[in-house]
Amino acid sequence: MAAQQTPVVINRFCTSCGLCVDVCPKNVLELVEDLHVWTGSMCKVARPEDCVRKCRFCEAICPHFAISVADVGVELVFQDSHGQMVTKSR
Amino acid sequence: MSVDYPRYLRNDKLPLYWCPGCGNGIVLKALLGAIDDLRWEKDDMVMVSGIGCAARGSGYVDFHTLHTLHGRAVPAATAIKMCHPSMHVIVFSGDGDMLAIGGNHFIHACRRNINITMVVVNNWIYGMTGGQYSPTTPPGSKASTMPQGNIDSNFDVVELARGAGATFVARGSVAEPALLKNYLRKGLEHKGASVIDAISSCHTQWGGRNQLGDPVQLVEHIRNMTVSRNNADVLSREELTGKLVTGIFHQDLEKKEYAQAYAELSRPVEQNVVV
Repeated sequence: MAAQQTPVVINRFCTSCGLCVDVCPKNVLELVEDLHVWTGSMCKVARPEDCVRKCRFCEAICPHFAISVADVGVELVFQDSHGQMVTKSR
Repeated sequence: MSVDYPRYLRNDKLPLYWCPGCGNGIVLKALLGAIDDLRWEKDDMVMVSGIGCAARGSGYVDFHTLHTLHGRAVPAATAIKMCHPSMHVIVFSGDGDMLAIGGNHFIHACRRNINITMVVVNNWIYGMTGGQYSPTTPPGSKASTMPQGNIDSNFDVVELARGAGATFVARGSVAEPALLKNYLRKGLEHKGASVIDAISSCHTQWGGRNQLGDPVQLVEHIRNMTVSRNNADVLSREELTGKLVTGIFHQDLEKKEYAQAYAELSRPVEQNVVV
């Protein structure tokens, strides 16, 4: 049986365009203020317990490869243009 | 099953160059998802692109890639396909690149029915060069070179490709990425010239001049504008004006593929050559 899954946002890539918030049928994601990035806000998985886990609308619509619906506990590793490793695990 | 996107991307090139909320990323993601579904090897793929916003897509994927001259993506892809018939060749380019400056190459690749997949990322504008109107800009909408509204008629990519002789023609939009992925997968699988018109969103250049500057608003507009083919059958002609019908429009399995026809033509000659 499939493991428990949750959307994971890679903050480095998120541009806070708001498309994922718009398509989510269960209102799981929201944009929160984050003054450390140039867009001024950041997508956050606010209500992961509401996620239906199968639709993957947020993953499909995210234009900047910032959202993955991943199994809980899996580590995602990316390398950005500055050579830093960006990890985000749950 | 989740798609392992980093496997198909050149991760040192990320983050993407496109604007926040740009539809090109959604089309690229759908394409990678379709390739992941087919379980094709990265070394068997070639992605060719011309010049433009969407054409930057070839720089981000970890296949064999070629970034060619403006409009000349299709001739380069044709050459690659003729030299390496076993390779899966994809052309990923914008509407200005494929239909304006490369329009001639586009129709002739369709006519020859050569086995390449042409993804026309159709955002109705020349995004990179400053928002000039393109052959697909809808009549009446504004662009930097048409500040009072476009007076030209626009191309219907589906009808153009079908008329030119492409054997697989489909249209999807960024408002429905899951369906777009299905159409791309079918197009990749198809043996012959396949054209996928991927309606993309440019809120920076097209949307900003047409009161749709927000990416969410523009994707919502595209969602309202598109009608699936099944639903379109029951609508009248008046109801369909200004709408874009999505779906798979044409698939012809009979017409002979060009690289295969060429191989059949040259085989007797190659066998009779005395060295």
